[in-house]
Amino acid sequence: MATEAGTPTFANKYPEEASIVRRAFLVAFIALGVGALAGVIQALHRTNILRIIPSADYYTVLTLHGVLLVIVFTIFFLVGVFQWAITRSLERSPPNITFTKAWLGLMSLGSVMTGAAIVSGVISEVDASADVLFTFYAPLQAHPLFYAGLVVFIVGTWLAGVDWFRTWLGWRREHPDERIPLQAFMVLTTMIMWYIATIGVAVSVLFFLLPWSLGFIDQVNPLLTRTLFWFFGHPVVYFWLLPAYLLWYTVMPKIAGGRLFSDPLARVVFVLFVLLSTPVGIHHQYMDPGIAQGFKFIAMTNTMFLLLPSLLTAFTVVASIEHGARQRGGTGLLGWLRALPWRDPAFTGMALAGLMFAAGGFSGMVNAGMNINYLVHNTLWVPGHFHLTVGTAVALTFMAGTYWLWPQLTNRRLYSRPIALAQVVLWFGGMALMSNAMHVSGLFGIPRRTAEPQYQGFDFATTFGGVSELNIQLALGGTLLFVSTLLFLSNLALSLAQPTRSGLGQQLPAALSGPEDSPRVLDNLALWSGIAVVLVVLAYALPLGSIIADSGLLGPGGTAYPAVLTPDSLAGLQAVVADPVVRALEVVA
Amino acid sequence: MHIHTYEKLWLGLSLLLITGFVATITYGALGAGVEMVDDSGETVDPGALGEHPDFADPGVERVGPNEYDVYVVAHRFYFEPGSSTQGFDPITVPANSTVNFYITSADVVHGFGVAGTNANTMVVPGEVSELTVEVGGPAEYGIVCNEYCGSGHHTMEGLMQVVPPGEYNGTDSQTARLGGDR
Amino acid sequence: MSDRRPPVRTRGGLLVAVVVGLVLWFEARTVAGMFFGVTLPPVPYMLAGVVVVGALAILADVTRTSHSARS
Repeated sequence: MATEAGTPTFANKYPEEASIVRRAFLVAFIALGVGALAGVIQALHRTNILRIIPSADYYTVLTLHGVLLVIVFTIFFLVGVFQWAITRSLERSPPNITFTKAWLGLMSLGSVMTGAAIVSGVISEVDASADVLFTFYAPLQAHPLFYAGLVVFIVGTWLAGVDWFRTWLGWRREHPDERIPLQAFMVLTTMIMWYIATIGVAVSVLFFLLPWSLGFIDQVNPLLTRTLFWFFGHPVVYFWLLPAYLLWYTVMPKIAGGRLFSDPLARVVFVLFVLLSTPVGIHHQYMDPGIAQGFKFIAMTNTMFLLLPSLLTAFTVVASIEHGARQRGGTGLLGWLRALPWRDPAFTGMALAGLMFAAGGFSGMVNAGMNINYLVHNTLWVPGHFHLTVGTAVALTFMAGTYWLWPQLTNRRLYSRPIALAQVVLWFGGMALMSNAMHVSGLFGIPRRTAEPQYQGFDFATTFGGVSELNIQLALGGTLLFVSTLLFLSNLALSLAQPTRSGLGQQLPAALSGPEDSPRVLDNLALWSGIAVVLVVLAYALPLGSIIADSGLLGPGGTAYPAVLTPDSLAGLQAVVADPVVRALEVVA
Repeated sequence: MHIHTYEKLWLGLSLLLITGFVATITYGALGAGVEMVDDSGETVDPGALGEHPDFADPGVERVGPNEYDVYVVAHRFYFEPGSSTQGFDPITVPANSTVNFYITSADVVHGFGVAGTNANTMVVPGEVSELTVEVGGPAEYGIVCNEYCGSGHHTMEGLMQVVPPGEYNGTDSQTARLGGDR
Repeated sequence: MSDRRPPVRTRGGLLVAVVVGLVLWFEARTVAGMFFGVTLPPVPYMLAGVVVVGALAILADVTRTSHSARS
């Protein structure tokens, strides 16, 4: 693959920042590995092909799978990519690298706290658990460490945003009339969306769930905390997606041999996400009592319009890679596809991820279709959908992007490109198998989030396929995905042992249509933030107000399941954790 | 701002597609009359369902010539009525009738999904989910709890039996109170 | 990207085309089943897919006019 001889790598130019990015990626990939292991255990368990854990523990594994993959893996990767992107595009280091290390440290601490609480669920000596799944709906209750860890983690991400905004403000003082470079623009707009999005879950956890788990309040309002979660739960998917979009817009055209078709349209897309990501959360609650139909209808229309930035992205990305293909000599209406660098796993991974995203987007439209949602809500269709979106569009793009970025972060070549190519193709095939089975199973009513969808009193009536055929397909797909994950991780691990070398630097070309072709108002971050807040208030003030008026801030009654902070559980924790530490300190002192 | 012609075309087609989706759903709501579960159900105390006039003794009641109210309480880990594998009555209604479900939870968030149909709702403690279903011909349906509710979640199931009208042996609301049969 | 040469010098585009082709062939079976009520037996159908997609791939390879050595 051609490299620009003499271009210093990111690791050469910004060694401390490269170290931050590598560390963030390290945590991300450890989470990916453990999360993937959990996934294959689940795939084999729920299809009744291989059960190596008791079914009650399935839910601990599922909680781990969700939290590790969509909180730890995705967001640590995001902070790594964003740190790279903002440093590179503003050509500027963070104002204080210690602050940068601090937020990364907080995120890591939070992850360990929450992870420990979850894993305690399968350690019988410790009377603590967090078998509440990624959504932690009350009155199911986790150990306070679970909630506290999430708080610490999210505060870490908030500080990351502060770090990047400060970097940008420093740049702006020195470049007062310039347009914000595109990658920095993407980082900043994504973080604005994140600040707005996390308000919901922060309120829910800080004011209700954490005090409740510590015993300071007796009860919480399940519908209220659910609604606050989904206030966050929809925009978080764009927090996962927008780093992938950053790679598709700014890196993929380069890998394809060309340039980004339109910088202005990329800016418009990210502004649309700032505005529309959060006022749609109620589309996850179409089946909820206590929320009026009018609010659900508004969420539906907002969600349908959220399809627009993704459709625009499809156009721009395809146009950009077509440009690249023609630069490489491709000709013809469709023949240019042959001229693309399909042997490059970074390109192929992103292209396959984009292709799969189209399918995922359409199954998402079914989910968004308010009354159609009756047929698929909480069935296996829903994981079928999100394994195409976060599981492929995001995860596969992250892996493909890593193949391209890793040499620039380490000054070492990748161990094996053919294995990397096999890995991305295997992911695509495995996901097609698994996700197809999930979608079809869901249409027959087979539920998600369950250890044993085999019931005593009835069988699922299938009009196509048959349950055992669908199970085999799901298990096979899941296994292929796990193998693909192992290939990714081992390829990277072996790359660490490669000798360092020079000449691995890459430059990103300017867009064909640059920012100067777009209205300056696009860069007015304060304006878009303000409008976004107004839209969120409009979408949520009345529903939240009505829930609180109907059933109270703390709910009409009820107990916690399980109530974890009992004197017994504290004693158990003390015996396993605190006492050995004290004894060790006594020995050392 | 220069926008390529193909881009304008794509934008136009995208907006058309989106409008089509919104129109389809709007038709479903206003034309086909599919109503969403909403806030018309009352608020209840999940810890005091035993004192509630309807949920203390949940079951099927005839409330009109071809209309039935079904009160269901979801527990960890059974439906009452519904979980015939755990000693409760299956939910039995006559064919070709209108059935109004009123479902609440005595503990955590559950799901109530009639497998193979679009009768599907969340069951939230403190809230009552109201769902009106047009029941078709005689058939037997499985009921699935489709929201994670704890370690026994996968054992939570029920049965809904739609029987020929002649075979329906239930009570209407008056006789239920009096304790006699039809 | 890396110093290791692949054991078999494949055409990346052909590999991707074959996999995408097989996936589309596979999805078509679901469409036939769910939309048209036609249930095709899985194993024979996929073997047929391997044959069809493979034949198209070989055809594409022998009729190619460009022999780009670039990746």
